[in-house]
Amino acid sequence: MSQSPENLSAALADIKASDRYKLGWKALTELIGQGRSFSGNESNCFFLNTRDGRFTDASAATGLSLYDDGRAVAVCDWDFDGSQDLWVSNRNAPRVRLLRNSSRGGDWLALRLSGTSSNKDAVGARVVLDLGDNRLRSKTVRAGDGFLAQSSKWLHFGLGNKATISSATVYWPGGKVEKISGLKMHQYHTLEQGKGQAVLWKPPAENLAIKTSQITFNESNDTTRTWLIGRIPLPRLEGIPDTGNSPKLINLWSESCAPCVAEISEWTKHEKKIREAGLDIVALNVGLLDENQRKTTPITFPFNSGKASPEILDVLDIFHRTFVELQQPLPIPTSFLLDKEGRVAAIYKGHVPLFTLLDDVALLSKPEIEARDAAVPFPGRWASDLFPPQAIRLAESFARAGNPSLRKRYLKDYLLRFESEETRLYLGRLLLDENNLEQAVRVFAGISATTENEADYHRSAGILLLKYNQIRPARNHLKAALSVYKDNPDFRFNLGIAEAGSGNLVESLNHFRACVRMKPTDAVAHFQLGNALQATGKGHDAVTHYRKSLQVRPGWMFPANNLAWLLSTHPDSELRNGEEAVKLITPIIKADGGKNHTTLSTLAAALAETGDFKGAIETTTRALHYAQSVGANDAGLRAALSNYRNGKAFRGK
Amino acid sequence: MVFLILISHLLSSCDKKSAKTNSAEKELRFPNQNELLTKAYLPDKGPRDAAIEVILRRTDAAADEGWDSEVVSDAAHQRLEELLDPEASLPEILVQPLRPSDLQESYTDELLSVWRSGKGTSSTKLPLSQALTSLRAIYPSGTEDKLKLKTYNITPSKSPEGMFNTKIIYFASGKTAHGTAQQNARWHCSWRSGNPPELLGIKLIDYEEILPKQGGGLNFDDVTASVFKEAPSFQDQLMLGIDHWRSRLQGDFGIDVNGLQGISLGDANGDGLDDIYVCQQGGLPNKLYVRNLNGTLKDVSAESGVDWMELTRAVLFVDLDNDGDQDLALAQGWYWMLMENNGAGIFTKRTETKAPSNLHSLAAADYDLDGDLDLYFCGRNPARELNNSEGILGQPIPYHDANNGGANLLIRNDGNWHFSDATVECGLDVNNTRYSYACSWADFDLDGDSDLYVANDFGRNNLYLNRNGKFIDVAGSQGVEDMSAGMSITWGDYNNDGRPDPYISNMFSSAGNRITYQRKFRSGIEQEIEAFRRHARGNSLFANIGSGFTDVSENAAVTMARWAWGAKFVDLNNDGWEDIYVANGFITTEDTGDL
Repeated sequence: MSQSPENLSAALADIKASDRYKLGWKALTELIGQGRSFSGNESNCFFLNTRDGRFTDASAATGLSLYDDGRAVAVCDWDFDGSQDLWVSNRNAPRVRLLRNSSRGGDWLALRLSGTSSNKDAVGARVVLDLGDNRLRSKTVRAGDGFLAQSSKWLHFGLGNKATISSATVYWPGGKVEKISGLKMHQYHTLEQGKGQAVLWKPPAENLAIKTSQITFNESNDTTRTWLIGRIPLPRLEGIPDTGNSPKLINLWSESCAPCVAEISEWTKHEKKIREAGLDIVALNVGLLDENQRKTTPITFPFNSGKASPEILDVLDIFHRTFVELQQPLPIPTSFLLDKEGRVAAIYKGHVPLFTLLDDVALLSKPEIEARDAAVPFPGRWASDLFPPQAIRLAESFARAGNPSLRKRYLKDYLLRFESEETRLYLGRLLLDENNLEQAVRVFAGISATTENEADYHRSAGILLLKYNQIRPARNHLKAALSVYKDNPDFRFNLGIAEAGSGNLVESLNHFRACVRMKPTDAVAHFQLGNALQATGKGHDAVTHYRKSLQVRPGWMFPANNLAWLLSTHPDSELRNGEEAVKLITPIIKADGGKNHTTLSTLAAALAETGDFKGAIETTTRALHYAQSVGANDAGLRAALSNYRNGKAFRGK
Repeated sequence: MVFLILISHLLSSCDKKSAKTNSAEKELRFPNQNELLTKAYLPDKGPRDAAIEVILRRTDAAADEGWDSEVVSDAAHQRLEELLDPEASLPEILVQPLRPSDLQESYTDELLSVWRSGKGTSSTKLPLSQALTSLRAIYPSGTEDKLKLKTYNITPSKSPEGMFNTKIIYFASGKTAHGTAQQNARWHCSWRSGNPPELLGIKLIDYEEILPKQGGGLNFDDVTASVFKEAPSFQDQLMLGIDHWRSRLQGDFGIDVNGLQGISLGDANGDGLDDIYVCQQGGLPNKLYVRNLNGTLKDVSAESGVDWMELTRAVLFVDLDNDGDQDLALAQGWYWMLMENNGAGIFTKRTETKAPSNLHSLAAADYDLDGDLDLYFCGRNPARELNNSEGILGQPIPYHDANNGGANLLIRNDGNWHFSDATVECGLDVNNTRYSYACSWADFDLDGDSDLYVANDFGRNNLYLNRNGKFIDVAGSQGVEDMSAGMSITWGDYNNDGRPDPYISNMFSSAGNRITYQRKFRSGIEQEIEAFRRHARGNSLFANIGSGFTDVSENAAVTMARWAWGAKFVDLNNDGWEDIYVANGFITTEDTGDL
């Protein structure tokens, strides 16, 4: 065996650290997902303070070395015997334990505070006892300490042996200091803020019914039923017969599996009952995958039967893994209950009792909100709505499992049967990512429920394409709808955007003009019209529309900035007004935090226009700094800076 | 410069249909809204960095021809376990005495005594069998009842002949006349490679034993079943762990493989006795049990109105309206909820608010000294929509010093059940996204207001100094950043000097310790390696010395608390000195091959 850590390091160095990291996360999360143990079987630790600055692990010697996956620890004197007991929560069963301290050790007293000017719970108040041994015993009332835990608000002081209290003091939140009198050994007390006097408190006199007791672990049972919320269908699969519009149970079984055969026989025997409930069954034989078992005699099963293809098994497995957290292979038998729309409502692993099955079939016709209560094992109060159907998530699982074409096919089929804007957007984006523009548009267009007429289709497609920054195709679609929508200001606006983005500035001007004519108080349209005017060299008109935009929406940064820029840099001195530009842009910079290189550069131009080149240089330097920090192109800023250094204002074209 | 086309902005203002849809989406309330569209597979709680390295070694490197410290370490560990079986036939080697003869009583009280030796005695060696016999002699039966070994370090020896050394922690316990005695030791073992490896010698690094006194010592009894005797939900619901539900309930309800569900003690029904609230994962009702006069519990979850089915991690009993009863504050994953107590233990929901992050612990204090309690929530994981990385964990980057987690929240109580998010205005938005697991308030500088410590997974912790209701993170300057995998924070005055000291639980990973001390562990700079080592060290105790904090963890011997979660200062033997209890263990399943 060669021993060379160097070789190993060299091998590992080939993998980039970040990749190794991701690989590690992936490997680990997968293993945990499959139910593996990881840093498990660890015993809780008790560290005894040995008063010399050190502690000793005394977990085993005290009975505190529990092997649970411990989480939260909360302390209190549960049995009022003068010593602290421990409540612990666990990941595994039992989810909580009470560990009773059966020893007392030294002397003690306990105190519960209540605030008057301070908060009623006295949280934050600190009690300090001086026992005359040059040490202070201090404890603070807390709400939340440790991890996910809250301990009792009683302050419990251990005092060692034969202690006498030379003074007791409360430091209330805010700093008020109060001496406490009346504390007695081995007693519980209450103290109200400002009273100075502790009042004895008596625990209940009743005999305790607490005793050392064995917990009983529940027997594990592999049979499970998972009821799903947000039902979605399985993909179309060859080998699963279409049984029409009735609930259906897809069952995976094999002749060599005794519980499977028993289940099949049970269903055969109770055929009438099952049919009356409206359920059809499709039994798929997994054993037939195995060549050696082909010769098996066909069973006489009154419902549908067939063989489970590898594809069917794969899809059912992915479906299961997508919605059930523990990532384990499906056992045989496994059954999937589908509602009459073909959506999966329940997954049963192991034998499903007939009465459960029939109850669940009845549940299918109830509203999902009622079915939710049947999805959970115990009743309780819900604060949340139902989850929506999660077709996208399943589709993603298919892609992750190496079948991206199934992802697409599934989503398309889904959209043919169910309305889901989210799914449409998702599929449309997928198609766009594949450069399949034509199909993407068709999918997107389906978003508005009515796409009977061509104009609607083109309008929807255009708007969606705009959203995804596909400007030129968007323009083409929108133009195709113009004749129908020419009197719709929002439509004209969108087309203006599309034309501007496609480089057709003159066209865009017309649409923005049409929009502001129909909707004179549209600040955004005025702003865009201003932009288009400026870009086509109509600075004077641009100023007008920037001002209109600001009239409707005072203080809006975009038109304010662009207007200030024009007033500072326009070649026409009649139009320029440095003073006004400074006034316009200064509050904008105040509001945006002064870190925006665009608004800073406008201020610099305005300052230069007023002749304040020092200010312009300083402001441009700041702008450069922020431009660089966000990786923006700073060529313009540099050009402006050299202008200002030469005592020249900046001029636009 | 000018702003040009603003497509997205314009569409949202002009296209009414889509604007309307967006706002409708915002109003929907799903338990795991952000998780719906993304990966179904990843658990909520992450492995630690060092553990990742272990997996890498075992999945990739173990197949390599090269020297794999983890494989060798496993073999040596297993061999030592075999040799420590009382029935084992032992090699005829000479070792140092394993129970030193110079033991000193270093602690004693009414209940027990602790005996220590700092050094292995002399160079007088004795046969291994004899050393083990005398080690086990403290047990009348001649052998311990329980033995647990941890291999925390492995180094190739300088001599070339396939030699190597391991360091192990030895924990043994067994019955004595007065109760259970315990032995803790650290050994330095030397080995020759082979199959199995050959043990050449053992040197003692340190040794201590804990002996109970007459009367049984300090002792705890599990009384759980008796207090829940009349509450069937204990057996039906709380006697089933997360792994049971992982294969049964739809994951979307909020199944948290890590089982991060807390407990709170407080007086729900105003009878002066503490009751207990037990948080539960999504799909199972939270439980409230009130204490009967005889110490047993009554399940009042449903009638008191607190049996929420949504994932809940932590809860506080706090009097939010100063009317003398205990209201409830709940951290429910993506939401926080407040409920008002009517004084008789019936609760009414007053607010339910979406959080920007996935909430874990919370703690209350009157930080602004206006006489009512404010709340701080730790939001470990970022909201899904803000996190395009893989999985619900996100990817902490860099993983030994991550600051890309979820935001924590300071919720100020404005009176009359009005609450507002004061995180930013109080300066708590600084270093606020470090995968925070736990928080605890303490007036560490004794100036009369509450300061805040936040324990963060994957990196530096925060100590926020309260200055008139504004906060400054002073963890660095005060020396309490504790750069490792922080899971919990508890305050207590361990040395009785009047100043509260923080104890932070982290992950102690023996695998992490072994690997990070490998000579060529990662081709990184020394500083980074140091960060890794620190990360795997375990828990930390800082002594508050008034002018700052001193890391006393190793001298105080409180680092090795395994894969630690909740830690709590508590004086269990009433001697007036704070002890510490630590709950630990990551994931124990039926699978026996622990990763």
